[in-house]
Amino acid sequence: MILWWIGNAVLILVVAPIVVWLANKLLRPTFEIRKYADDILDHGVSLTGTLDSVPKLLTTRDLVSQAREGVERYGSALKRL
Amino acid sequence: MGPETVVTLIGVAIIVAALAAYLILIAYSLNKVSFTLGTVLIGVRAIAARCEPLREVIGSIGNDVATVEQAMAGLAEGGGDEEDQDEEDQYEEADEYEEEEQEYEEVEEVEEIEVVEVERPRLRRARVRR
Repeated sequence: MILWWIGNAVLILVVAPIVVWLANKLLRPTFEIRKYADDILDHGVSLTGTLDSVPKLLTTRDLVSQAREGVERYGSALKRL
Repeated sequence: MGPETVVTLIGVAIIVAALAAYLILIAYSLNKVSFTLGTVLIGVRAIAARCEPLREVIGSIGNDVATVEQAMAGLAEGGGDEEDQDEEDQYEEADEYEEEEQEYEEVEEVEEIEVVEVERPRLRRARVRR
């Protein structure tokens, strides 16, 4: 009977705090991972916003191509002179 | 049922309840993380799809700009003969000489400085003749 009471005391005073401590230790990184994931999502959304001007590169490529043709024509005209 | 049995059952119930609560919290948090990471994955794929033509387009722009640069360099080199270059050098030398001469004249104008006594003997004023 005394041993049972000792077992009860150990269960409440030792086992329960250890369980809570371990669970806390597991829960803290989980919340940190959640915060990091939210942070990654926020910055990913802002990164997507900075890529809005990428399609303008197609226009830039066309304009540069036209400029190259113009310079070549100008050079050939100067050579003729 | 004795009192020690009741205390044991209460202790076990407390531990099980605490574990259940923690597991529920962890499961909820992991669910949210999974949803967020799924959204991030979709965003990263969208970014990759949007950036896909960058290599080709930038390469094309680089080639065009290099061609333009070479053409302009060829124009600049072939645009003038050596005589023209000598003539330009002479013009530059002449301009430099004129600037130096102008500075020299200005200095000569200021060189004639006469010190005049004013009524009060301790004060002196410099008068500049031009």
